[in-house]
Amino acid sequence: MRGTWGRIAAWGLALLVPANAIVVVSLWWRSGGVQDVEDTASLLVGVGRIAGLLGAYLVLVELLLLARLPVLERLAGFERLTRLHRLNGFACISLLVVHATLVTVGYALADRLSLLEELQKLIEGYPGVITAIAGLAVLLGVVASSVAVARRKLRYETWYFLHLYAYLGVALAFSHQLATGTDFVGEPAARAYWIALYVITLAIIVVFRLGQPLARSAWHRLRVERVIEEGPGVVSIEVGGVRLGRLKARAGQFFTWRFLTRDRWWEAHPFSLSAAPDGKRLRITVKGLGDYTARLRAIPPGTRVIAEGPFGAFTTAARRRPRVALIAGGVGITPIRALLEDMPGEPGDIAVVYRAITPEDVILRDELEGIARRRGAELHYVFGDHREADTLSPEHLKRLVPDIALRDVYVCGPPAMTEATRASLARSGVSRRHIYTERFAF
Amino acid sequence: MRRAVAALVVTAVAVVLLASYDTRPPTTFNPNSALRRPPARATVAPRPRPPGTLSAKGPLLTTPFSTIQVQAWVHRGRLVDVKTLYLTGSDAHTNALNARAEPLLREEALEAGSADIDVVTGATYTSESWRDSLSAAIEAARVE
Repeated sequence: MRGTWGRIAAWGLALLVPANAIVVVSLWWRSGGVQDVEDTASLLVGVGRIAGLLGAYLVLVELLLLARLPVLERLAGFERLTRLHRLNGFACISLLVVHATLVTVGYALADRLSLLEELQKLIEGYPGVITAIAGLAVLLGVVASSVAVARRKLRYETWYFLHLYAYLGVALAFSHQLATGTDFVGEPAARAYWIALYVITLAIIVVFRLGQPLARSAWHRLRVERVIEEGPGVVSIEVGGVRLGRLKARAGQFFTWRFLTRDRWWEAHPFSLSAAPDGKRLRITVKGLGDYTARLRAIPPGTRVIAEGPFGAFTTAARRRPRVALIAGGVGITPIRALLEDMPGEPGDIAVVYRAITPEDVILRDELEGIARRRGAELHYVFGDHREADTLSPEHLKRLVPDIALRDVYVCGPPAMTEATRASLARSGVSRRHIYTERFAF
Repeated sequence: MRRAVAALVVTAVAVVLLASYDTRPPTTFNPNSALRRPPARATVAPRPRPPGTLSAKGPLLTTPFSTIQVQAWVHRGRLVDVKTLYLTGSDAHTNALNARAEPLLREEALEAGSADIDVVTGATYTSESWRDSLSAAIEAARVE
């Protein structure tokens, strides 16, 4: 029954996006988007207008994709939402750049002015145009920072800070839409609809990105209990609180963590639970990533914590087969360590493959070996880089876990390692339905 | 942290400056514009004008963006037809806005039978001047 309702909700939500897009296109159509075209200039302006409307609409979709809506998280999963967010982000920014360009060029042609003169005219004559231009520049900067962080040319902390500017960019661009948008002239219904889109989006963001995490942090009284040095550059943090069972967190999931220290309260980081939640505390383990991680060591116990989550479908609920292989790369061992604790299975049903660059890079070793012994799980260490030809190749995997093709396989590691392992698994005869992955880019 | 605070201060100042930027409408018409001629509009069929209908033109009014003139036909004190004689914008965007607003203004006026109409949102200057020209035209037709 729940599955049926879930599917209905999924379809309903999925249809809402194109349905509103159709409404937006019809606003443009009704206000003469096509009928007014009589020469090159009006054609450019007409196309520029629809690009602007759709771009401004997709910006809202973009914000909602990562607004941590529980229903979206459940239905699509954090990873797929992140991928959609990236695709939609590029679509959005392209449409908005096309909008600004075509409208300026179109009106410059009609007014027989140079591009610069026309730009000046639009800025000086029409309210909100100057803020809209600033908004577009801000959004372009946000996209550039995301491309840079993906290429590891920017620190996560800087990227996170800059990404918050996206909200500012959207807000700056809003006023010119109603003040100068041809589509809204004398159309109170269209205006009301457009304002409603923005207000509803804002409300969802305030509730789910601010209200809910704050309320939850207060209700569960989340605080740092202990900070444990696990080894060079590796820190575990135990967060305690009350009623933690109600969070319904599972091994393999992650939260976005915000530690309310004086200097870093504004940044949030995703980290997986590194131990199965026991209802009393949540533990994360972090290894030498960025200067933030180094600072985690200095967090005093008692520090308040705001956590968004739990996120991710990388849990035992995905299991379909009696036997399972858990493959970890680097710090991706943390959710695998939690899963190993929770994974249903008799002795011999669970195999763990842990790839680290060198033996010194292995973390949580004692715990892993203790749990593996208790559960009767095989534990294989693999040293080296996943780019080395033989590491985690199909043959290698079959040597380690001979019946791997008959198992469910969980993979967690850096993106490149995850992709390489996924390909190896496919060639080892594991069907895609039985591979579960969690990306661990940070 | 210090850099973050500095960035936020700069941002706040920039936003305040941008938000307080005053747009000033163009004061002179662009002599090169292809749009000095009234933009092409579907010609509107005249409404029935019963015998005894009086007509007058309103004044040519200038908004910061447009030049506007309206002609009214009045029968027994009631507006029975109206025609926009002149409606040119200073630039292409204004013309696009005017083209949206004009039919709405005309329809509203005919429905009301007078110049007692609301401004069209998004085209305030145009609406007000159009209404003023119409109002004067109706007055002129009544005293004729």
